[in-house]
Amino acid sequence: MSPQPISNKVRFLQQIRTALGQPAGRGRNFLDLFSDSRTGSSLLLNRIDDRSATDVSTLTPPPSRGMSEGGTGSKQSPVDRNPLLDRLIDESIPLNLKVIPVPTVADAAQSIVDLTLDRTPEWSDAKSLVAWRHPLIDSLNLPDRLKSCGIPVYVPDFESVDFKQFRLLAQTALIGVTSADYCIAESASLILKNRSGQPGMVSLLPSIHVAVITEDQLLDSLAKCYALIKQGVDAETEGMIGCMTLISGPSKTADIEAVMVHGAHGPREMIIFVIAEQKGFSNTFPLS
Amino acid sequence: MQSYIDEAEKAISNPVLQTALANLQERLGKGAAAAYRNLPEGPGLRLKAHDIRMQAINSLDVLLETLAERVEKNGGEVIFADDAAAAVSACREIARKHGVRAVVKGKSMVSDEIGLNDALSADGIEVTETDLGEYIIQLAAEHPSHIIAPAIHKTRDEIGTLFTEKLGISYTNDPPTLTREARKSLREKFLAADMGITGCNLACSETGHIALLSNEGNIRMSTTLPRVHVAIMGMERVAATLSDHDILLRLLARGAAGQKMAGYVSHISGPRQPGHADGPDHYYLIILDNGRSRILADERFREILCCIRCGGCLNVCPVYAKIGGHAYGATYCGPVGAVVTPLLSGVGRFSHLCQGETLCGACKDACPVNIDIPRMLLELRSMLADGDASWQVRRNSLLEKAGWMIWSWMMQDRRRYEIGVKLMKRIFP
Repeated sequence: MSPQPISNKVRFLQQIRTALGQPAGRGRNFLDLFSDSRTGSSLLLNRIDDRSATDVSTLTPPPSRGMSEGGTGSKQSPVDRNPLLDRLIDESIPLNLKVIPVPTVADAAQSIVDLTLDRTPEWSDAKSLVAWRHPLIDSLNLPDRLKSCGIPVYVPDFESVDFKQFRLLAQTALIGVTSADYCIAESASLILKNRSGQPGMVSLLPSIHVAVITEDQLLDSLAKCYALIKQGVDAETEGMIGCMTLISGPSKTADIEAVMVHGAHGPREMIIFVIAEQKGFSNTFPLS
Repeated sequence: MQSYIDEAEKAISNPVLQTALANLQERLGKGAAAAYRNLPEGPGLRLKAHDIRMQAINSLDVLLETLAERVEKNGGEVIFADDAAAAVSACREIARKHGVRAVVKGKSMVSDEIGLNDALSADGIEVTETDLGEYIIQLAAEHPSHIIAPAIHKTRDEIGTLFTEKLGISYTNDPPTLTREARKSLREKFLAADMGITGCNLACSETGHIALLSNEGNIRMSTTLPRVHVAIMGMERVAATLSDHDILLRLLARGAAGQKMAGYVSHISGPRQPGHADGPDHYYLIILDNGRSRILADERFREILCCIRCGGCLNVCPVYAKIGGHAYGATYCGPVGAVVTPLLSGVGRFSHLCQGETLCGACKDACPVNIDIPRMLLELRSMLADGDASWQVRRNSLLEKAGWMIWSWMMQDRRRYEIGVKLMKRIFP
């Protein structure tokens, strides 16, 4: 690091120590003051192992309804459905976020095609998509599915794509398709990390953000998400956090006389497809 | 003092503002209370959060040192700024070094505190506020009147007229249409900007990241697209661990807007990594003191550094509900402003703020970290009554003090009290 031209770290910190009545010099250290035993995050981790099933008991019930009626129109008994998924759907409704469970990857892909054909582009005359380079998203096979309609799908490959060029594609795209690391049911928040082939702008610049995740990526709380991240394999390679974003619904503002408007700067519409291998889904997905 | 009264009178006689403020309190004030009740851990989490914040403040030297080490390890640069001037000149220096011509800003109270926009504009840099409320305020050349709803004092008609003048659109007062126009115009700014400037809602020592909350997505734009990202944080805005961060973040979203989580929470640990398609090439974190270490040194007021600036106390305060934010005459308004502003900018100069509040305690109940604001308002009043050399406060009035001393002496003894009563009866039969 370059030497500090303006202020001086040592003097700055010393001023704080003086204010706190601490002796000069570096006395206390972080690990002594804030060890894991204080925070109990290791305890928490032990309980996460089977996260899609066992931790349901700790969920607080949704404010009003028991079973969800949101989005899917499916009428199943509670035992057939993942309570985390129900919770996610319940929480997504007031956020104007659509959560749509689908039985297979192919169903998610077909829904995205339908969505693409239905919506009007905002930043360009022609429709186009940008998508992550990601195993689940690759398996949607969107470029082939949309080829017959003449709608291109652009994917950022580190090897071949010029990043500046990709940004131009992202800023005119109708839909950005991503996956996510996790999805927190309690607040309907997707957890996305910027990685190679998975830039943040795909979930930011297009008019519509579509995310595809699998049921086992659902977590009940942010605390568990943080605990997993802290202990995760990525912590070594990309730093504990890297550049990570929680996204809970489409972009919104209420800055003009408190009137809620969607699509302030980011996507005006957001849909999460959850691939949940369960019986009884209808094959039509209401998108509007 | 006079401007406090004048601005308050102006606000009270403005029926549109009165309705807006009442709606704000109805919506956000009640929303936060409901959101606390719906916490999985129950509303008692606020008390735990208070302990977490106090512990962080009491270990601030360690937390900041660790934070700085982590940020540097992740490839960012950390600048410690003693005062507003140091922070401003650091920003100007960074802008000069990277040949910056256009800046997009996420909403940041601390940048208003240090007067950053004017300084950058004076260097010929185009500075654009990108939060819709802040953008409106900037176009109108005004100051924010609420911590999270800066344009609460503007009507849709005023905004329509403003946009017609400044953006050259045909007049409308339809909020969705106005928002769409701002979306278009600001998108060009985001795509053209060289540098993004943001505040910092909460940093985390353990990981070295800062978290930035928004609902609009403007902060994601400002931190994803430009080449340079400068984040400015008040030095108190740091949590020790990720589990503390979890609790505070959830409380912040609830206190600010009654949300379980803000629409977007960006966690930023450093510049763009190799192979990544977006994110800034350069990342700077400016840690600002600007009077905070002086507050830290005074145990009476240290607690106010727990504040995470959600603005929740504004949404329940009966005084703010009537006089609005501009009467406070400073960056930080409402109950928190009545404590912070005098301590940062002069207890004597802003003496009227603590005297104007009611001590009803609503702010404490609404605070996501349970800060005892009424206690500190009383401490400030007592400072004004008795004087305080360490804060350069002179006693308000010796005569008043003497009067109260005589009263107190009379009340402490039955005989003296009765003589006093008789005397009074003689004087006022």
